[in-house]
Amino acid sequence: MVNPVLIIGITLIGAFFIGVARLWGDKFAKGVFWIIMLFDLIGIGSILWGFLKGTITEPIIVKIGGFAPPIGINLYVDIYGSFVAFLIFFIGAVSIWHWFKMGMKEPQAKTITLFLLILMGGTGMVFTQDFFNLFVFIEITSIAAYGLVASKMDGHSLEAAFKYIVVGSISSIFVLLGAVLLYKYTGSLNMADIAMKIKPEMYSGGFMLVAIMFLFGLLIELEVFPMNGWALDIYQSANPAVVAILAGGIAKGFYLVFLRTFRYLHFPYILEFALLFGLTTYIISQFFALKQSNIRRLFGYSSVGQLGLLILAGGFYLSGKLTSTGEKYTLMAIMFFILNHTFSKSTLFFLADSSNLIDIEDIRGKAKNSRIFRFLFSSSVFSMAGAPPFAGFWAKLFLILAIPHEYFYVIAIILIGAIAELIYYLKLFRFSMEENGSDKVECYGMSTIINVLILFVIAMLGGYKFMEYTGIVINKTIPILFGISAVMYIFGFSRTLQWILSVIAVVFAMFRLDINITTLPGFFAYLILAGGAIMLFATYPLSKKYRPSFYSFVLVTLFSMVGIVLADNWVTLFIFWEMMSWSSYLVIGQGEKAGKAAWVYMIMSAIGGYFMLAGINLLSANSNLVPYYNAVPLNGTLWAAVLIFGAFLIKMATAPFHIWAKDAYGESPDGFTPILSGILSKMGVFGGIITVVLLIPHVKSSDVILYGLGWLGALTAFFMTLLAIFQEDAKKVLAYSSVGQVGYILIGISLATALGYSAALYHTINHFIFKGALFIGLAGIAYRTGTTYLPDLGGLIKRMPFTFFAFLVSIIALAGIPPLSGFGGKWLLYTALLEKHWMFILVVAMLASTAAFLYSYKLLHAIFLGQLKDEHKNIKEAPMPILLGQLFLAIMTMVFGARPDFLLNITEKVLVTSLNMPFPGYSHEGAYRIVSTIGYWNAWFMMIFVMGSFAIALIIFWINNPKIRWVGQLDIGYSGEVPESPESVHFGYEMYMHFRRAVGFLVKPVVDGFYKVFYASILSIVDYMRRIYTGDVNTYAMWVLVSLTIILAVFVKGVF
Amino acid sequence: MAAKIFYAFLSVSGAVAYGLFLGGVSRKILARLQSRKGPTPFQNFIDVWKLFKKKTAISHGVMFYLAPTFRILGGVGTYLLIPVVVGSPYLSNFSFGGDLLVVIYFMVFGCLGMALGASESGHPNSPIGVTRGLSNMVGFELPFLIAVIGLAIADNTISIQGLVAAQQGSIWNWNIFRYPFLSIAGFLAMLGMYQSYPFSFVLAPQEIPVGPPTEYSAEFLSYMFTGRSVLGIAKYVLFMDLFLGGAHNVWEALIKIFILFLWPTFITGVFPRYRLEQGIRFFWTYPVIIGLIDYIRIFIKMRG
Repeated sequence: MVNPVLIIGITLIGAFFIGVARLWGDKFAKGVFWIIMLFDLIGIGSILWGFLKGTITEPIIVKIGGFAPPIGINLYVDIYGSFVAFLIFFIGAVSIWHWFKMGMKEPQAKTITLFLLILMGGTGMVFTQDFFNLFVFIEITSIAAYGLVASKMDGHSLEAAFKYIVVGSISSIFVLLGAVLLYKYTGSLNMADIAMKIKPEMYSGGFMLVAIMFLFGLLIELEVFPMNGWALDIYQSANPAVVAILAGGIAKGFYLVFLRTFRYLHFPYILEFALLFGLTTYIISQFFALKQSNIRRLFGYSSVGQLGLLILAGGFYLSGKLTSTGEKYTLMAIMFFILNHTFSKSTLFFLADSSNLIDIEDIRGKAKNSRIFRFLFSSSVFSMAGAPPFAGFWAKLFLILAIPHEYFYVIAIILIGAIAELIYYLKLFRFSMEENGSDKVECYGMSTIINVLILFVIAMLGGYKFMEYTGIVINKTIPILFGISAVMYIFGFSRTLQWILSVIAVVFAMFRLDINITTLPGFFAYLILAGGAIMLFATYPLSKKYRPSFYSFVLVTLFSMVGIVLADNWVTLFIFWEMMSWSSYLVIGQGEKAGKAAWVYMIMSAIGGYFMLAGINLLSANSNLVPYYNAVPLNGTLWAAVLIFGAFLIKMATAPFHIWAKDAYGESPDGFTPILSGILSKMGVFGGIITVVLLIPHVKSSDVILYGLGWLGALTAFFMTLLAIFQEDAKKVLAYSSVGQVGYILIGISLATALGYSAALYHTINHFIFKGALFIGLAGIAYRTGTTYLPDLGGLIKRMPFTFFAFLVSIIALAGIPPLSGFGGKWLLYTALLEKHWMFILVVAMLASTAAFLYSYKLLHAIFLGQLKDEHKNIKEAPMPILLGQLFLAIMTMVFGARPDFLLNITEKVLVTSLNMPFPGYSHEGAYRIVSTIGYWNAWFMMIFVMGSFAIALIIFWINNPKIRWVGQLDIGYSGEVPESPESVHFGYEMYMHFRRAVGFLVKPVVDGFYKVFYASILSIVDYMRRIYTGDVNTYAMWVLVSLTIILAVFVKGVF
Repeated sequence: MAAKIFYAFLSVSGAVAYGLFLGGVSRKILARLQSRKGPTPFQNFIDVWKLFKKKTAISHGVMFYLAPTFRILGGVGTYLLIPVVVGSPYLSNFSFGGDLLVVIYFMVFGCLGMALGASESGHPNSPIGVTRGLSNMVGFELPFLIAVIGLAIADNTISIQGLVAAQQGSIWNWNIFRYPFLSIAGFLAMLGMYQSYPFSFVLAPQEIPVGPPTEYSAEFLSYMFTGRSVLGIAKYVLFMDLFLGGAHNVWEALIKIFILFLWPTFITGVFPRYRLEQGIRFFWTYPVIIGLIDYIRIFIKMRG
């Protein structure tokens, strides 16, 4: 163990020695510098390691000069201090390494001196136990920082440094004044001593003013709103390496000092202070960043926002309002927020530096062209945006679980801010993936790579700590499965190998996981794995169009879904839910024009995820913050249920959350759309079922909620069907159709009767089968023709007869016409609705299913019938795997159409075993005939009857017409003319123009418009508001005074 | 079962004959309304026979070839799922196959098959006619569903036998008298279902001559013709069972069907044609509002 004084001392001496060392050459100076850095790192590292391993149990107290406190100055090194100091030195080393790598243009010796000084100041700040000494270290840090900011020597950075000097001086004045007055009141400068001398009743007198002065000085350095204009200017104009050390290291030091001061001064309004400044800073910075077009200033806003969040978390930690578990969680949250922010933000600044990014437009195409840049940039962007498994995700989860219910508004604001953060970070990622024509290879340093690798280590650590603290146990197989996809991602095997591996992995999972199909989780797990295997198998021919990461992300999506259904508490469900959202976002984004669609998808998914997280907070009891399924819910279940159901509704894309569905389905890679529609949307169904079973019964007016959900399902089915009718792209038709079909399932869930659940489960499987077949079929068509745009297709029955057959069968099932399986779901649902006397919902649902005939016909006609285009005269039938996949599914619809009891036997058992429901309200007569209390349906008879009569009629017909001549497609009775081209007689565009004239007013994009106007107005509001940062130092000083006035008014005079 | 099939065969033959005959009668009635002499009521038999004897020489593709079979199957199948004479071992057909929901959905089977065949012909008028027909269907489906679901809720059954059984006892127990407003909605929807004149969108001679079956001729057309006649009878039988108390013997069935048949026929005779969007808006407004009046009573009945 190294004496902490040595670290400060050697760094200080080294800083000034560098100037001398230069006499022996720059290389020597650099060498000295690195030796000092290495010493410091090892020194602090050993202390931190000691604390972590438990070899050092007590805080290290070093008395300087042998004088005992309170007379002498002493250093006090605990685990937090050594943690922050290590972070400062580590990020300092990485930053300066990056700076050297980029070719430091500034006068090197001076810069290095300043660099060592700032590191020393930051370390001293967190080590010292003396308030005046603290002021000295703050001054050293600030002065070094002024110099470093100015070292770039251009107009902007000099101006920023000047502003920093002005505002920093104000801050120092307050800190100094505070220290002096503290001495006056307590007669001591030693922190521990003061802490003992301060009594709560002192705050009723003038002492409040003293405490506030000290804290206010630190607040300025902590860049709280509105006193942070200077910080943003620095972020924008200083050298990114300087910014990295300031934002990543020094700011964390100030943060620790701030929290310590809170604690030592026994400040009575800790939480109020933290809420007022932390929360405001956080939410306002995140929103200001939305409109920011300078990428460095945008990162600056994000850093300021993170600091605000940290202040908030610290306030909660120190406030004593948390349970003991909550305090532990909050501490973890703070740690991981700090780590995550330090490493990802410095990476982002380094990348901005090495790729010379100024405006956000500069990022266009960078990640598309370079895989390594893509990896580095996306890792740090996603970890900032709070994606699992990065540390930011775990930190957020820890924090939200810890905050008590009465501060629900804080949770709401944190999550709203997180969504804003996600919006702008993913916008950056989207830009970086767009085409811009340049294929410049970017420069990136080893420092960036190290940062990102550390980011992953922290991520693993965060996940491990989360599991350890919450006691959540997840199925052991799932990490193995994630491992497989990680291996595939890292090694980037050939597509064929990846394809084989993924199919094997999915099948392996099916056997390894030991799931039982007659339980609800098992039912869905089989849907995911068996369905996923079919889809993955069938879409192989498209794989050469995919990026190398396609299969690994698809596997993560599939296995996350398995995690969702196998979860036994809401937190596990949430974790896997987010993993599913993010991994599917990454897959959807691989479509050719899917950038914006995937962005909207992820924003909506994140909103849903955060709804769920907020709901989980309401569900968690004080003793145990992880709400298990089998625990009895608390008060406030109504809002928890509403919020959690909201998440599932967003995933189902019911109205009014449907806006993501069209483009996400339409633009996602053809190989993924079947999974998206057939399996992923069913996770909303699964969630809906468990919410209705677990939570809704504990809500007072559950009938009203369920009835409302029923209407939501019916209206979704109706409006999505109408929207589907008017789409001109086959994938978009099927997208809206999928959403509409999920609407039917939602009706079934909302009935909450045995028959309703049966209908929902039955239709879940059915919809997977026929929609899967349709999307796979479309993939084959897109593979051969290169388009799914309906007016460009036509007459393909002649070229792709087997695809047509599978498509036809699936469409008949989709339309719900007996004797195929689609009808079974409808019959069950309608019977259930009739039994519950929800007649108007029934009317709307049946009308919607009639309207579905319109788009069913449209698809068949516009793709397969009518006139074959000249350019499609020579295309081949779809490739074999695609054909096999869709024919298999088409045959399944016929089998289940004839024998619905195959499926019903399973759903009945699921009801009895998992949902504690009685046997559904129907009976089998002779296995095939299903009788409810009000009606009956004989599927086997219908199939035999239809097939038999069809065969008889066809044979008679065939015998009767032995000689028939097959004519060309243009041989039609066309008013005596001979049509010239297929296009002139093909009817394929705006096929329902007349229908649009009748009901078009119902499908005006009102909801889309609402979202757009909402977003645009937020942007214009923040654009107006951020003008408070005029860039003028007078204004900045004025905001400091305004803030001080507010603080004094609130905390001293008690205005509010 | 063999006997059942035999009776079903007889029943279908009767339906074909009666359907063709009613078609002829309707042509006669329309002619008289327009002060023409008109053809004989048996003209449709002559036409179908003539077409049937002519062999079709060309085909546009597989679906084109299969469509007439689909059409026949759709008509006959729907007819066989509806009991003509409830309780009769001969004429309750195969109604054990499914309830009213099955019938409503199976009704489209033949139409969809025919639509696909017609589309494959490559003639633009065919898909235009089909899309108009489907849009029209969405139009009249709403009042029809209002009527049917109202009856099903009121009598708490969705099986056709059950609905007929609820109307027995007296003529005043017929749904047309018990639920007059639902019946109005149902009968207005029936006009759309029969493509009778204000709603004649599919064939629309002046706009898309003949519509879907443009490319069909000779024997193919005779199948289409027959299928359409049987489906027509099937729908009359359905309305008879839903609103007019069903039938207790063949003669009652024939008479009630004839009465039902007069309703769309006379309306056809005296009305000009709507544009499609006007038709849909009509269906979605007046019949629905009228039908909903009876729901108030059904609500009260359910509460009490």
